[in-house]
Amino acid sequence: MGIMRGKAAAFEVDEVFDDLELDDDELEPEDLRRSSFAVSGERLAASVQETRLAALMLEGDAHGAIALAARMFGPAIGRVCFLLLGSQSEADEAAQETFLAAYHGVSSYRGEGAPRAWFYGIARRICTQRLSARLRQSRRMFLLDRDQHGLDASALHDRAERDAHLRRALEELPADDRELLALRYDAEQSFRDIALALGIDEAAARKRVGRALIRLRGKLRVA
Amino acid sequence: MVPACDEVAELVAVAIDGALPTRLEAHVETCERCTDLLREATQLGDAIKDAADDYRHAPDFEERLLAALDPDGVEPTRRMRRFSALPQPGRS
Repeated sequence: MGIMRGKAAAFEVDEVFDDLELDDDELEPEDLRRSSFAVSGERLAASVQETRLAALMLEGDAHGAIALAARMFGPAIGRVCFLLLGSQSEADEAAQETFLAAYHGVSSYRGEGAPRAWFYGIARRICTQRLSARLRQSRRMFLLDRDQHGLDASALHDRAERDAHLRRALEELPADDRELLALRYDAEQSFRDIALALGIDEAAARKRVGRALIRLRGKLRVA
Repeated sequence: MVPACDEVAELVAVAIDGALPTRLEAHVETCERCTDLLREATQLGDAIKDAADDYRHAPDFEERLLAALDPDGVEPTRRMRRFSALPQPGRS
């Protein structure tokens, strides 16, 4: 397939991506059969690129897969990390870590769900680890950090003020709730994909997202 | 709160997708409390997406990532593949 595997200094990003412009007939039927995501057809029609990504992952082309994945949904992963961590710089780092972890673990993808959901699963775990470390290091520092980033409402437009208010309310929710809401309403993941990412069944995912919404509504009402 | 309100609240994430069972849809049409709940929940879903809009994806994100990948041309090792952050089937 000719995906570049050379040293970092030799990378030409465009070349890497040009290499990924595969013809459909380059996809191995066996790879597609192994992917229930592809076989289900649910998202196949919606995203040929994601099917290509699934094939690259299943054939173990870690470099090609991660390069394509970063192009396809790097920004979306970053947004979810931003919602979970509340910090632009941490979100960038967490998103980078997500793709690096995926690179080293691409062989663990079994095609059981959409690649996008698999990446979100890694992102939420990375963010959870970061939040745990943050709390372990110093709960007090965490609170100070939040204060330092407190926004002067009088200097903001309504929209920015509302967004910041909502992010503060999200921060007050349990991490699980925050993850569910970010995956569902920002990443627009299906309940099925959320269930796969969290290792729960689909009905439980629906109920837990609903309960998280109601708890968020409660936080905003008392704020 | 009547039992139907509890059911609507339990299924609120489904309800705002317009996939509530017909029986409960009929209830919502006559229940101000549930109507308010669904309206606010819909707005919250939109607001969550808006709240992420302040994130700015770095223009050099992919370039930095590619530079960090496999810098020595070494294939991922078994240990590296078992990176602890990876989701495990059946575990949250």
